[in-house]
Amino acid sequence: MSEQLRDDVRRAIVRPVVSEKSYMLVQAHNQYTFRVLEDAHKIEIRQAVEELFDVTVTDVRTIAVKAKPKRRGRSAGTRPGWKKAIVELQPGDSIDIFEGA
Amino acid sequence: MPVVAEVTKLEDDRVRIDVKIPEDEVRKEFDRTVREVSGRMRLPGFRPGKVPTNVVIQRVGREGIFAQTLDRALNDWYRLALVSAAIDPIGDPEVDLGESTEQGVEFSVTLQVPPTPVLGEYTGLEVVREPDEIPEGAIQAEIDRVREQGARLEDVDRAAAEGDFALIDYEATADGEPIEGASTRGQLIELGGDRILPAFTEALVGASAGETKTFPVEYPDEDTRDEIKGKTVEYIVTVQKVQGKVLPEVDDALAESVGFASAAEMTTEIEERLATATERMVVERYRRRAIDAAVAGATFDVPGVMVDRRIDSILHDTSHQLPQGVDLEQFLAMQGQTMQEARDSLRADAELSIRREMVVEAIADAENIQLTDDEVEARVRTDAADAGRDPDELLKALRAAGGWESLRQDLRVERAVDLVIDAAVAITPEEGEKREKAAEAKAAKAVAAAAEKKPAAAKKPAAAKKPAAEKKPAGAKKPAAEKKPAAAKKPAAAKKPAPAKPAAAKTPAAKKAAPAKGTGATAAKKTAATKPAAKKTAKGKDAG
Repeated sequence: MSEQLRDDVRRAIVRPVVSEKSYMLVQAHNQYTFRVLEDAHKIEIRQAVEELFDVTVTDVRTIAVKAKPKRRGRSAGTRPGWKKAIVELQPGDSIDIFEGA
Repeated sequence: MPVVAEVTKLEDDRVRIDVKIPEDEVRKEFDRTVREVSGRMRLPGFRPGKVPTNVVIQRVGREGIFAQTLDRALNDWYRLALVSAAIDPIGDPEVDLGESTEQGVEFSVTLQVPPTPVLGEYTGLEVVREPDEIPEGAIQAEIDRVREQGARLEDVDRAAAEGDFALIDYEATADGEPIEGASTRGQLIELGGDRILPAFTEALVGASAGETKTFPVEYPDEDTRDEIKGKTVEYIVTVQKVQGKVLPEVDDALAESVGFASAAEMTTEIEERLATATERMVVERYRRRAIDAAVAGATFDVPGVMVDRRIDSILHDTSHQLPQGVDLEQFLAMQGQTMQEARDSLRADAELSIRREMVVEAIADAENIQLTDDEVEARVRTDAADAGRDPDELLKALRAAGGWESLRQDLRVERAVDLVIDAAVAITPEEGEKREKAAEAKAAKAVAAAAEKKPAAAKKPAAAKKPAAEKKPAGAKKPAAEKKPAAAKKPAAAKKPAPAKPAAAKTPAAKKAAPAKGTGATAAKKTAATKPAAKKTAKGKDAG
């Protein structure tokens, strides 16, 4: 996927990932997990998070979540893969979206 | 203290409790609700029960959680408030939810409390006390009973009389056919005894050994035995032997056979036993009358709810004492009563016992009777020694099971009763009767006038005493009547004005024997505790 120009870098973030694991990371390492566009790169993600939540990002790690084959009866198919970004914030910063509201 | 309760007395024995729940208590309950909701919540990405608190709150909303918290905790808070205000409500509370936020909840409850009895005179009461004499003939009757036990049968050569025994052979035929299994040889029967059909006694009185009698017995249609029901059965009875019952003389041999050293010792022993029994009975009756007099002097209405509740608890206790597989309805049916009839017959009793408890409580309050822990402990020690148990163990058990306070309460009540008894003036039955008549005459003349004067107070107890005295023999026969639900259910027993209930409930020993009574006593305790509790609360507030 080639890189496109985005009118707004914030669109790279799709939504936060809400799960036990992601909450564990928040508590353990001040790392917040997001689903991001598949072609978003780390720099973009850092900028997006910093702009959206007014925080300082110290590290971004990305994971390409593999598409999983799924079958229901005879019809086979795949679930789409997606890209996950784990963003570590400066100590003391936090993102409210995980805390409430 | 998790709740702050402020009690305001309203008219008509109603009470308003203003309850304040501090923030940390609210928070605690709030968090508990969140945990509870979290346990039920299904959210993708989380295993059930693992949803973090903030996610739960985010999903359900603070208000939702708070509403649930109120729903759940209000009941607990209400109960805590009752405890801290030491109020025992009757009837349903009216709850008025006031200011309630997460920073603190306030609500007020209006409820009915048992009335405070207005005590009449309770010292110096004139109470009838019978002389401690053994009733005439009682000793002889006791000795006769011993002789009866030692009776022997001896062959006699004469016509059988009632009370004699006869060794008989008999055959039974119905419609000329012998009945299977209904002929016997060598059966010993007691003429006039209740083990045999009256027809046998009738036919055999006057018969001598060797004689044969034939007589018909008609069985009713509803007899359970198929082969004889609705039929006339012809009995052919041959008397083999007539035996008379010979009562032994009162001598040392007889005395020895029942465990005494000599005849003289047996007589004195019996006499002594009867004397203590009589005295105990007299004292017991005296106590009961004294209490009744004090109760009659007090004026207050027992709310119907309390009576109903007491009836419920009596019936409940009864149902526990029934044999397995019989439920209360069936049991009552066996007594020929419906549930409603049973309740009605218990009503008077229930009300009376509540009255007694409340009055005695009120007296204990009025006299400011308090027991220290040491006094209670001393009592437990003597009781334990009497019962042959380890006092320390008993003390521990009491403290652990929470019986301590109720024991203290029992002792308090016991003291109050003792106080009434000690202050009462014993009068003879004759004097009692005289006074009663005088009082009746007076009452007839001035019906309403002297309501608050002292003679009036004296008059009422006298009137109350009368039925007690009349029913005396019946009451005496069944000292345990109040414990036996069956006995209590009989209409006669129910009408008896003075079952020993309150007196019995007062002695801790009796209490242990009948733990059922605990509920009643406890209820009454809380009732009377209302007043000091109000003080307590106020004090607590000052301290806080």
